[in-house]
Amino acid sequence: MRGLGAINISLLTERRTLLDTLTKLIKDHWGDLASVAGALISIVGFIVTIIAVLFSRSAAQRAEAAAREVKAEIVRSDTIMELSAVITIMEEIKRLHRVNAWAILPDRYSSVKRLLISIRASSPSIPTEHRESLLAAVQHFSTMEKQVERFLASPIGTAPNQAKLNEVVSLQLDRVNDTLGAIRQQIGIEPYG
Amino acid sequence: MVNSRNVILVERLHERTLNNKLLWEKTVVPGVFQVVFGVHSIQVAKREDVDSWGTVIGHSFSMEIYNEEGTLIEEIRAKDLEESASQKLEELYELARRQAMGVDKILDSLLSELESQ
Repeated sequence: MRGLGAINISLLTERRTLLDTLTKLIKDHWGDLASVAGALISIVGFIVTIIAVLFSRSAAQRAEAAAREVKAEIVRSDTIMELSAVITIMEEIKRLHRVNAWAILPDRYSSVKRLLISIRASSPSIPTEHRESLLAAVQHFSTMEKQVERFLASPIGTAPNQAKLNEVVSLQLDRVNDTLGAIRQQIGIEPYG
Repeated sequence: MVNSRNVILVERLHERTLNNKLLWEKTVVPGVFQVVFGVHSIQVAKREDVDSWGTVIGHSFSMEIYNEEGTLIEEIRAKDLEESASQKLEELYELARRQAMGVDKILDSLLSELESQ
C-alpha cells in the first residue's frame, strides 16, 4: 500500500515536470510556433487561392467560348437570312427577265451582288468551295448587269436572250441553295448527307 | 508594253486548264467563259472585230481579271502579247470553251453510241 502511494506521487511529479517543460517551451518558443503555424496557414491559403484562380479561369474561358459560339451562331443565322433574301431576288430576276423588264433589272442585279459580297465578307465559316460559288454568282450578275445596261443605253441593239439569262440565274440559284444547305448543316437544322 | 506577269498568268492558266484543274463555265454572253478561284474570277472571250460597215473582219481574244466585287481590274488582249503568248491565249479560250460546253463528254457519248450500234 505504501509502495503504490509512492508510485502515484512519482507519476504526479513527472506529469508536473512535463507540463512545466511544455509551458516553458511554449513560453520560450512562442514566436517560433506562431511562425510555423502562420507558414502552414499561408501554404494552405495559397493552395486554396491557386485552385480558386484555376477554377475561375476555366469558368471564364468556358464563358468566353460560349460567347464566341453564340456570336458565330448569330452570324450563321444572319447568313441564312441573307441567302434567303438572295434567293427571293433571284426568283424575281427570273420573272423580270421573262417580261422584259430591263429597266428594273440593273437594280436587282446590284442588290444580289451587294448581298453576296456582304455574305462572303461577313461569314468566315462558309467553306471555300461555297465561297467560290458565291463569287462566281457575283461575277455572273456583274456580266448580266453590264449586258443589260449596254442594251438600255442603246436599245436599237438586240435585247439580251431571256432564256440564256434565266439558265444562268437558275444555276446560281442552285449554288446559293447548296450554300444555304451547308450552313444549315453547320447549325444542325439539316441532317448531313 | 508586254507585262511578263500577264504572259506567265496565261501560261499557267493554259497548263492548269489542260490538266483539268480549272472548271470553266458559260456566262450569259456568248463567246465568254469564266472561272473562279480564290478571290478572283477570270473571263476569256472571243469577240468579233467589225469594220465601220458592221462587217466582221476577224476575231480577237482577250482575258479579263475581276476582283471579289466583280470589278474589272486587268484586261489582257492577245494582240498586246508576244506571238507565243498570244497563241497560248487563243488555245486557252478554245480549251475553256470545250470544257464549259462539255464538248469532250458529248463527243465521248456520241462515239460510244456509234460503237454500240
